[in-house]
Amino acid sequence: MTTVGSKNRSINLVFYIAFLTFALAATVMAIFSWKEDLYFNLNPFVLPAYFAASVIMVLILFRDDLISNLGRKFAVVVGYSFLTRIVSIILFYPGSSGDPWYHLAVSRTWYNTGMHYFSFLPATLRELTPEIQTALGRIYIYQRAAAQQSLVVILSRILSIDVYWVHLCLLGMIWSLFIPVMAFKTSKTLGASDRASLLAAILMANAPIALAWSFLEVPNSLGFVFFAATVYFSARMLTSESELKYGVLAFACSVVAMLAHSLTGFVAIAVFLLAITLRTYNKEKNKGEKRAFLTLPLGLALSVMLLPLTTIGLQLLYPIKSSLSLTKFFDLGIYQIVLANYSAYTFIQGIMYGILSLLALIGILLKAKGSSEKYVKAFLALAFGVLIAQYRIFFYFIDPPPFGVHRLLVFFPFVIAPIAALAVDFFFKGFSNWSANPSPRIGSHKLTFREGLAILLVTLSLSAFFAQGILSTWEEINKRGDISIVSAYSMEAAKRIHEEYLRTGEKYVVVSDQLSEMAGIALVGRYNLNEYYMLSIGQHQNRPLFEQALSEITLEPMFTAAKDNNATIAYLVVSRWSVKWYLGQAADYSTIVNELGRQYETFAIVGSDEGEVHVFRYRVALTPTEGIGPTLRVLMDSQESYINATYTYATFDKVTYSLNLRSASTYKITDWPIFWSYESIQPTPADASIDANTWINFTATSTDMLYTVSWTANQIYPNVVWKDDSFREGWFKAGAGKATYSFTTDGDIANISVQGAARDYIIHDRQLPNLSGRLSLLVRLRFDQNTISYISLWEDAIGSEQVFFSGTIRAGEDYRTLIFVLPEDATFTRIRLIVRTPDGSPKTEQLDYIMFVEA
Amino acid sequence: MRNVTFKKIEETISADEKGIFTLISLASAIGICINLASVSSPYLGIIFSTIYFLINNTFAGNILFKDENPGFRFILGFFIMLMLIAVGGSAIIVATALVPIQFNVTTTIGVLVLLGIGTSFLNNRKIMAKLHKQKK
Repeated sequence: MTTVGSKNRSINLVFYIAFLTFALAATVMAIFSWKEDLYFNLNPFVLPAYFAASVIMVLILFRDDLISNLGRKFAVVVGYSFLTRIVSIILFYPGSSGDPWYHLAVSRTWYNTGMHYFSFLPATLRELTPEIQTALGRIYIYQRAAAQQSLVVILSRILSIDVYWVHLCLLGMIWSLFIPVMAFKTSKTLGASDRASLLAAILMANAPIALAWSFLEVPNSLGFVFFAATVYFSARMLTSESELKYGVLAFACSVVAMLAHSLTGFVAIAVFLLAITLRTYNKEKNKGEKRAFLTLPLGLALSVMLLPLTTIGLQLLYPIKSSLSLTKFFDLGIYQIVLANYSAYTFIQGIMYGILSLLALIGILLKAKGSSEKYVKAFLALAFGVLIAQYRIFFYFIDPPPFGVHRLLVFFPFVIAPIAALAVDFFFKGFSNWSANPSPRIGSHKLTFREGLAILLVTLSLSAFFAQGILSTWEEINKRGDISIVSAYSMEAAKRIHEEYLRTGEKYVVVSDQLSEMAGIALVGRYNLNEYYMLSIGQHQNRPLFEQALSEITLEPMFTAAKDNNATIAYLVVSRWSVKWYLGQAADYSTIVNELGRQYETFAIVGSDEGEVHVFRYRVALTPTEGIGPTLRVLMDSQESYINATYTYATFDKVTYSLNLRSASTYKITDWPIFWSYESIQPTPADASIDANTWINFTATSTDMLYTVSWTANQIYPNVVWKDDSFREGWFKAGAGKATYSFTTDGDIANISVQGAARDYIIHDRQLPNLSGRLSLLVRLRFDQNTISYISLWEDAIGSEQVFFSGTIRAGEDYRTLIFVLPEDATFTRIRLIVRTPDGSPKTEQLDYIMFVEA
Repeated sequence: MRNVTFKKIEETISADEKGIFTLISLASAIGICINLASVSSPYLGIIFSTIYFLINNTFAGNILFKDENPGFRFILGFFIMLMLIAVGGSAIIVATALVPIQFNVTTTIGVLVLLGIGTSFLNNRKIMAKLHKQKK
């Protein structure tokens, strides 16, 4: 007996050690995988170690002669569940980008201020949020995700651990601990064996379709945990004598699921209603009441329709526009109608996401032991049916759905894993002829060939299922490329900016790429008016301002941004990856950073390679600078006069020079600095003749009238070597462009109009003096919406060679100045403008000037 | 042996003779408050929180899941405590939309103390007995 006992302990120990070793190896390899760069890195040993841990876990689960104690088996299942989450969190550290960071920012605001972030909404954004003007609307907004925020904030406070760490780990911990418990206990209500219940625990915690949700820290994920609890307590309500207690618990869980996320809340309530319906139906049936046959279909219909109806009804509280639509259904192909989500899956995805449902269908057909087990199985089977019906209604008819419809599929494992586990257990027993709960006596059972084969098959297939599931999840998250993971360098940049604020106390605003934005709000909170990060989501303006700053090399977006919180310091945070992401493949990070460096102070450079983050700083002057400019020669009624210009500017890239003229009937201005670009004469004179390159002649309506002639100048590039500000001479049509066109000028602005067939274009060329050296090209222009334009420069001295191409020019309906850094080793002898209409409709491009400037 | 030990600890806590564990739970909540206000040490935070949860998870498990084995009773008690904290915190969050209060350290400690008192009150043997009597 002692020998058997010690052998048992040795086997136990070996398997504990083996499981812990592989789990530790997977974790350590995941830590070694992680690099401080931008991308997801996977050490080739992570997955084999994870697979080996899965093999040991499944062996422990299926072989009672390895570890017989149920509690210890359960501990291994929970340990494996933690392993999945821990490895995933490490691999995606500091966190997968997107929603989790915006929720972290909200929690940070609660933690720092004790108030909802809407309390700090800048005045400029208030009109975008009419829903918070009513008390009911405010309650709806505030309760959204309240469960997650309150848990994160309270745990962070009581543990004295930073909000970030609690936010990062909370969901993984709750999921790893409680989902196996709920699955195990739900299985037990089905009368399942220990093995089937443990299998249900591991299947539910590691179902491939739900894996991403198990470590991405969004309220929806937390809602799934409470949904699983609702299913368990509802099942207990159906079988236990303490009906009221479990009913109250099921309802309380669905309320918390609602406080986590409306979607999980309504689905949880639907499942709870289904349980109540079944209970009522059963009671009525037992009493022989006829209405029992009406109760069931009505309850089912209510459960199915609850989510679609509340989704549509939600627009009474919140500005969403979901409606029931037949058009959506008719737009679907036959494969989509029949196969729904499966029509878009690859073979592997089909197996991974479909196998649980298939096993569940088999499990439903298996005979249940007793009446209460039958009852619970009927409940789970009907709940499965309700979930399928809800998914199909959203897939076919709700347009637009307020959330990704695939989210409804994530509910499936919480209902079907216990039944699927029954099916696996059934097949295993059938194949191996093994009892459901084999004797715990160790060494008394000799393994037969069939049992060995059954164990081998089930171990390898389940382990492969879990390993493939986690790999596919990682690949899916990583599909977003550069923006999959929030950069550690962006977090460091945000930290340095924050430290500078702690030193100086000066209000700042940040315009940045989106990863830096997420890192920033995670650190300082959302709508922190002292440390304000512009946002990219919804109608917020970070993205257009960031693109403007980079494409036009301008300070202007800093002034726009600073208005939101009256900041005196503005930061522009540019990551290397973001330049191509926002501006296209032609954009060059080094060039843009060099040019920005002329206008902004470099505050910090963090990191290297694609993740390098350049932090620029600019002190925002809220009142423009004014002064006396150069003296200009003006002929006033043919009398030569010298008059001082005045200037005013907020930023050096946009200085306005003005000349005030009075007491003459005719004026002729010449010889202004070459880097000035003529803008206007105010008020409009009686007559004007302008060549913005050379002269401005105009006639006054009366000699008493005060006229202001103004120019704009980019003072950062004063060394203009050649410019065309009038477009009067030298331009001619070239190339084979077939668009109908016109090219006109008023001596200041050139209008190029095109129309014709889709994608028709027109080319205009102009000869240049031989220009070479360290040059940049400045072009000020504006477009009709959707106009496409390009600029190219050619060297015709020997052969005809294109030496510069702008790529697709992005501009808007307002004038913008674009800066292109030109290649130093080229000579430019010809400039070419191409204007294209994408759909054939009339399009107009207006050019103010083209300047070549010395760097 | 280990199970017996855990079972004994669990039974001792849930018995809460002379309200000692209720007092310890409240003292840990005060400890959390003091730590938050002055030291802000994660070590102290983890120690005080562990004591708080150990006691109140046991109470909650004992109140609602008396028929479960001690391990599941404790885990389900933990689940209920997290749920109550989420509900308590959410109630404050929603209240801030309507009345001028804040979800700050004071209200956080208020939630913890209320939950501590509530679970220990319901865990009290006489009240439990009354509840069970009413049920019967």
